[in-house]
Amino acid sequence: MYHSDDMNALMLRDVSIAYDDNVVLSHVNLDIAAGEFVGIVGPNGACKSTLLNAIVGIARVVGGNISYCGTPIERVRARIAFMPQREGVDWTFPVTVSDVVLMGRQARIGWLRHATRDDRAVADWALQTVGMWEQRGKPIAQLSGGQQQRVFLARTLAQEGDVLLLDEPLTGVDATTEETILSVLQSLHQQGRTILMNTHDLTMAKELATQLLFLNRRIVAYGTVAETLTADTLRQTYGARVVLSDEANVMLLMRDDSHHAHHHHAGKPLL
Amino acid sequence: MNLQDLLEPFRFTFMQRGLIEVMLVGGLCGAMGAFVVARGLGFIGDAISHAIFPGIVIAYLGRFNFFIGALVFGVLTALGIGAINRNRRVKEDTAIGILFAGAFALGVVLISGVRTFTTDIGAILFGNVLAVSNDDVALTLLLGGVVMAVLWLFFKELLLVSFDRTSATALGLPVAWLDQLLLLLLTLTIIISLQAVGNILVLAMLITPAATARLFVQRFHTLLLLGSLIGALCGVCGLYASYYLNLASGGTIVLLTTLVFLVCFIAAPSDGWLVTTWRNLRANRIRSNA
Repeated sequence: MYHSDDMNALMLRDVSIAYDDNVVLSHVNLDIAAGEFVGIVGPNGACKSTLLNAIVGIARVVGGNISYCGTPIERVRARIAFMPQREGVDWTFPVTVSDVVLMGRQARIGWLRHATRDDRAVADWALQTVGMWEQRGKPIAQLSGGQQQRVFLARTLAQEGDVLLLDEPLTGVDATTEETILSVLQSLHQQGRTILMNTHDLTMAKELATQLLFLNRRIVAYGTVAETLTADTLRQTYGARVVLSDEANVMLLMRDDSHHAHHHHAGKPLL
Repeated sequence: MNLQDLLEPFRFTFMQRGLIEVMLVGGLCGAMGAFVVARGLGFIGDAISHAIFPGIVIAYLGRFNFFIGALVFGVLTALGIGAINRNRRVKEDTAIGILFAGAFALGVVLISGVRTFTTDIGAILFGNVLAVSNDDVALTLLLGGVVMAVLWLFFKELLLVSFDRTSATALGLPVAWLDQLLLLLLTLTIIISLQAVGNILVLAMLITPAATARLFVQRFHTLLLLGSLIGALCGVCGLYASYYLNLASGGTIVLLTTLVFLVCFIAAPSDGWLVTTWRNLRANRIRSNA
């Protein structure tokens, strides 16, 4: 694959990100080569979503700059396809499944124009890819959580972007949906798309991604799985006391806080 | 009552003009109402209709077309609300509440010095569709056409911003300006409707036909069309009824629209009150039998 410096797809230079005047991430430097599949991992509140939001222009970048293939990111928004968390929209809104997927064509269609037959064909292909073709005429209010997620993925696909950013695409979905999303992401990766995916599931990230980004209000580590998945990185990302074991080829990461009041955390494997 | 009697209202030019005017206004409000209902803009619509009141009073006092006064105050209000939306330091509904109540008070103070305002201002507050001239109808057609054309041209952008602001931003759309555009279209719609249903009742025409349509359809495109159809039909039938019952036209139109909503709310085939209650009762009976 591409690894020379000039093939960097996404470049973040000294980027600081703020919500309502509070700087939540500062001085982020990151180079992501074209064609990489980056798994962004870290605990809750690590600013995983914030980082993606900054790249797509939702969170406010108050310092530094973000570029895509050498062009300031503001000028190439259409080439970055973003799949937000599905909680962000009103699912009782009166639109059908195919209406939502067609919204992904927005940037391709352009101002003052309406969707052409080609746009509809792409939307139909995206619906078939995620297994939602039969439900295309349904109002979105009638979908299950997993189906909502697949509709969002289809919309992201319909955009035909070079880079895909996905915010927790696997959270709270059923087995069918998880399988669909994983196979779609793998085939996109094989086609050479650059993918950034937030997840709290380190096992999943480790298996899918070519690069891991460990984040906890700063970049702890960025590199291949072999380079980054160390006890030291895990400790810096997830907290002071973590135990990493590698018995029988199954990695188990435990938060050693069984003496704390947080019983729901006690002994629960993170990985 | 024979056909002759039924067609009687159509013999008068003022009735013909009035019927065309309410059909245009009802259709336009019903279409804009799709956005108002789907996005919950009812309060903002109310704010705009109140805030244009001083503009109308000033136009009345200065003896120029009320339309110009309303337009100036309406556009200023729409821009003001847009600015509040973009700058989230003040709570949105608080700021809007302060602004529109203040503006309405300004209108009240301005007219309090005039003795003869009752009939003329009454027409503005409650509408007097039978007084519209040919020029008024032409202006309604022209401006209503402009609003519908802009809606058509920016439909997919306005729909995306209404459904999912996050994705709209990520796609590089100027979300704040599209909101502003929608507010300006809403303002124009309200001003166009003033003569037909008046300053206070216009909100009903913006919300009720679209809310009625929402009971039957699950798609924005059809919501817009059906809302428009219901608005136009209620306008025409309401005016027709007001002729025979000898009642105020604006009030009768709005009452009829409300009645239609209530009937549909109770009897709608998929989610109506009757069907839902029946379904629950049957489900309970099956459960208790099992």
